[in-house]
Amino acid sequence: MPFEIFDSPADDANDREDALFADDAVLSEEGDWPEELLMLGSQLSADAARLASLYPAEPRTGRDLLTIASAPDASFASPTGVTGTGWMSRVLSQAVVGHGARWVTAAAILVVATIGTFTTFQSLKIAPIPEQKSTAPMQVAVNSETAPVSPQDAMSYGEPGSFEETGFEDLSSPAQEALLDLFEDNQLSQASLSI
Amino acid sequence: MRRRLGRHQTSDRNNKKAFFPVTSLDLDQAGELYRARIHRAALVLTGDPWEADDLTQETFLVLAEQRSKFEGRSQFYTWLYGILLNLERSRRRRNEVRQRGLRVVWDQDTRGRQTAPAAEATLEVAEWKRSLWGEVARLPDGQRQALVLRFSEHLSYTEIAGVLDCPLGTVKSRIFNGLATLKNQFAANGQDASTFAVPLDGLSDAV
Repeated sequence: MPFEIFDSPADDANDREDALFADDAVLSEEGDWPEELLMLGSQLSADAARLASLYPAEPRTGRDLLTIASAPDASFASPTGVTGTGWMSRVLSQAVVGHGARWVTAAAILVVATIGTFTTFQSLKIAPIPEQKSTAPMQVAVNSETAPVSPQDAMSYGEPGSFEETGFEDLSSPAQEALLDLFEDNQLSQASLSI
Repeated sequence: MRRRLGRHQTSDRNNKKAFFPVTSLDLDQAGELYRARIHRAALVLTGDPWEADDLTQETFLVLAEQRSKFEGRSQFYTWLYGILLNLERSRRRRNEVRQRGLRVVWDQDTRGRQTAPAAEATLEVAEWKRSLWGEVARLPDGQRQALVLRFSEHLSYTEIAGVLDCPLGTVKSRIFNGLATLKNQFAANGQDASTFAVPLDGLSDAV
C-alpha cells in the first residue's frame, strides 16, 4: 500500500472493541447473524445505491486528472473539459466552508479594527469652541448683598421713595390720594386711642 | 501521455474483479471503471456530493502520481479503496482538529477515539442524513469503513481485510459490532430495526 495505515487512537479503540466482542457469534458467517442485523445491512446497501443514483460522479478523463495533477494547487485547479458552473460552485463552497474561514476571520478583524479606529478618533476629536458674540450685553452675576451698587444699578432700583424702595407705588391719582388720606386718618385715630 | 492498455479484463457483471496490469495503467480506463464506485463510497462516507467528488478526484490524483508504486500484491480497486479511505480519514482528522479549535474548553468532547464526520463541517445532503449512513458516520473509523466496503461496495470479507490491512476476524467483528451499534442506536431512539423490510439479496454473493 502506498499510503501509510495510521495507527491512531481510533485504531486502538477499534482493536479494543474487536477484542471485546470477538466471540464465536461475531466471527460466524453473516447467515448466522440475527435477522435484524442483516436487514440493517440490506438497508445500508439500498441507501448507498439510492444515494449513488441521486448524486452520480462527474465524468473526468485521464487528461483532466493529469492537468489537475500538474497544477500548483491540485485541489483548486480547474480541469479542462469541465463546465465552469459546477466547478466554480465547488471552489466557492470550499473557499467558504474550508479555507475561507481564515479569510472571513481576517475580514472581520479588519472591519472591527477600522470601526474601532474611526470611533476612537471620533471620541478624541475636540469640538470647536463657539465664538462669543461681542454685540451681546455681558451678563454678570451680582451678589446683591455684597456687590457695590453703581449709579446705573441704582437707577434700576428706582429713586428714593419710589415703589422699589418703599414698597408703595407713586400715589398720584385722586383716588389713591383719598385712600392714603383715609389710611392716615385711621392711623392717627388708632394712635390717639392707644395713647 | 496516454498509454494504451495492454490487458484489461473484468470477471463479473459489476466489474468487481476488474484489474489492470501494472505496466500499462491507463488513467482513462481506470476512471471509467472505478470512478463511479470510488465516488459512491466517498459519497456514503461523507454525505456531501462535492466532498465526495473531491475525494474521488484526489484518489485518482494519487493514482496518477503514484501509479508506479502499485506492486500488484492486491487487486487494483482494493488499492484505490485504500487510498480513498486514508484520504477520507485524513479529512475527518482535519475537521476534528478544526472543531476542537473552535470548541469551548469546558465543553470538550471526550470522544477522541473517532474522527469527526466531514459532514458536520460541510454541506451534507438531506438524503444522506435521513439514511442509515448518516448514523454510520458516528461509528468508529474501523467499523465505519468496514460497513462501507461491505454494504456499499459489496466487497468480500477477504477483500475488506486487504483494504483495511487487518485480519479477517477483525473485519467480521467490526461489521457485526457496527450493525449491532446501529441497532442499539435505533432502539435508543424508540425505533425498530426490523421495520426495514428490504430484500436480502446482494449480500450472499460477497461473503
